[in-house]
Amino acid sequence: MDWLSNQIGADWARALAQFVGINVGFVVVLMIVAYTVLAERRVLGFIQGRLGPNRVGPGGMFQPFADLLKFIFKEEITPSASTRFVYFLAPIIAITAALMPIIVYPFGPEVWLPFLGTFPLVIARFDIALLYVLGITSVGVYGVALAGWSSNSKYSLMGGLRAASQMISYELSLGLSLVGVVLMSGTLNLYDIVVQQGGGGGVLNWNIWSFWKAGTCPQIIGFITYLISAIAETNRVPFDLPEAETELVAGFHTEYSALKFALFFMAEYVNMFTVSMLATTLFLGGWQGPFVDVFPWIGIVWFLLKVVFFLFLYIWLRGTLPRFRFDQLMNFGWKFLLPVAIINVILTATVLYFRWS
Amino acid sequence: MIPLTWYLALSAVMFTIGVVGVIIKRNAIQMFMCIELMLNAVNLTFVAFSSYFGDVTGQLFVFIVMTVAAAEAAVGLGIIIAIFRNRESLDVDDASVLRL
Amino acid sequence: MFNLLPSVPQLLFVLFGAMALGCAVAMVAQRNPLYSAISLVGVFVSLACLYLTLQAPFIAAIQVIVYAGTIMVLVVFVIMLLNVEEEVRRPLRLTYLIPVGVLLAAVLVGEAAFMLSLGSSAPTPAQTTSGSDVGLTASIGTGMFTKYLLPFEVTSVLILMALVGAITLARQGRTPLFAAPGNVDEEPAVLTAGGDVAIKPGDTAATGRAYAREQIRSGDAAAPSTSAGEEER
Repeated sequence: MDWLSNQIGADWARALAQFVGINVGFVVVLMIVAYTVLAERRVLGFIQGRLGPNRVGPGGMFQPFADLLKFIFKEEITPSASTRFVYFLAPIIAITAALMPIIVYPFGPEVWLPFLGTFPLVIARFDIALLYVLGITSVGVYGVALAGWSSNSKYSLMGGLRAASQMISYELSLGLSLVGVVLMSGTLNLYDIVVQQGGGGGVLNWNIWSFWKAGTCPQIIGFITYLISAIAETNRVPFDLPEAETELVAGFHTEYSALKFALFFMAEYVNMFTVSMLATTLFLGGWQGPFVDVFPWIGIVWFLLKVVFFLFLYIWLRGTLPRFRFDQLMNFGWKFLLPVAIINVILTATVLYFRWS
Repeated sequence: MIPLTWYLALSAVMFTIGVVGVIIKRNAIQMFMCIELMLNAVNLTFVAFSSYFGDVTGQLFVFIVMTVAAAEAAVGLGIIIAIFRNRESLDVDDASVLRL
Repeated sequence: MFNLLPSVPQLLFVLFGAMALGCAVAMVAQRNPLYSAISLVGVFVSLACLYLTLQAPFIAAIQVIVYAGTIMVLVVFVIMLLNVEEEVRRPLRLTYLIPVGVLLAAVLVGEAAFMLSLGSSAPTPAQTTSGSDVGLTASIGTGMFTKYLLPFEVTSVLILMALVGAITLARQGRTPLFAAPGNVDEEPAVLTAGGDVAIKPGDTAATGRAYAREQIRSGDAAAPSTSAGEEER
């Protein structure tokens, strides 16, 4: 690092280091996402009493790559009456907005590597990390809405409108359920929030149930509201109205094929992954776990284990639950989830006030 | 560092583009968007001054401007929907009569 | 050390400033409202990046959340729902004002040039060092809840008013709010005028209910088996 900064200046050296970090992060996340897809198919197969894909490689290990090749070589179909520019723009927005939040998540504590020195396993640490995540998530709505509009098909349009209204509605309860954690930690920096959940109490210091540490209030309500609204935000079962195949064929990506469809598909799974990472970071202590103080690299294992738990929960729900009706979805979001999230904020603020004074 | 005047010039040009848009556009939604552009140009000067003088007041102003813009968007789009329902058109020249 | 490379903030300013200007011009030039909206989102996002170069991360995040994520989604939603047609080209009116416009534009350009030339000679206030906390969330929160508490509270009242106003304006159906179905006591005039009335387009649920009641009274339809109290309603 020092050698590099001497050559091209500190600013540019930092920019270069972050560029490398971002690319490494994206590759790692996309690999994990590819195997999430495979895991989903295998687990769903198990739940439904069948095998799932098991032919490509040992136990189906190379299935994601086979799928990718298939997506690449399929014919790209563009509806003749579509709005071309927007039609191409929509999948790009979707995948960009899905990938961008990854840079703020702390994958592990400060680690040491030869030649590079000590550095934290996070690409960017800044003051507004949580707001950044929420902002990028809200921009992700465009991908879906524009895809639905530009395809010039009634199924796409209905799916796009549904997806957009659903995402706007559940964004509110998603944001509000995080306020409790922010009140407790007094910062929006995800790395600091994770550091605060460490220390003497071990597992008991995680924000979801931490009560014995000073200035804390258990966030079980916040955690549950976050989980529900996160599932709705990523358009997954039981809130997968935008893609309800019995009514809308495939929703907003009905008219998309080949690689453009693959981008939407990847965006959905990357969104699942980032949402799980946020839940892990804010409620379940991020990379905190046994032996992290002794051997920092193990933090990344704890972190990924917790994330995989959430991903499994997603798949489990998909194998178990039926779909909501759209009016039920809206009523649930506005009349139940949002008030509960607000009550959680008030409750947390009250408890913290009395515990501080 | 970047001189303050760069930000001011950029903001001035953007504000002008917004004014031109309000004048030459006839679609109500596009006029509305041009007004948002003007608000944003002003916000840029606020933030630039606030950052250069080291005073947080300018950024608080921006926060309030954004809130007002959100309120304006809600009411403005409500009005636009009401107009469209009555006239089947968003052309402001068509909405020149004070009755339905 | 290289001096050929520009400093990172300058490069970012040029990049995002150009992007903001390009998107702004595109927004005005487009005839299709949806393309305008997409360009405006581009302006908002590049402005957020410019706020970051000004060390105002909180405002940058709020810019993306409020403008790009909420207001413009609403606009795009309205455009999609209304299926707005492209603008039609019309003959120019007020052509005599064009020279005046050109003159004013020249004045503006001159003014901007003067300002820019002034910038190199006039003493500029020192930009805050990166160690200061202006623009961070904590300092903005402190300012908002101490010195500027009243404006903040007034803004929340404004938001509430806008909420009510938007719902009133965009309600389905043309009946005013106070005559909503369920609030009407008297039968609408259509029914009392003649005996044999069909439901017409534009009728409200109240009309339909009154029509059904009329039919039950005249014996054309059987009354549903409910208690007397409910039928009275």
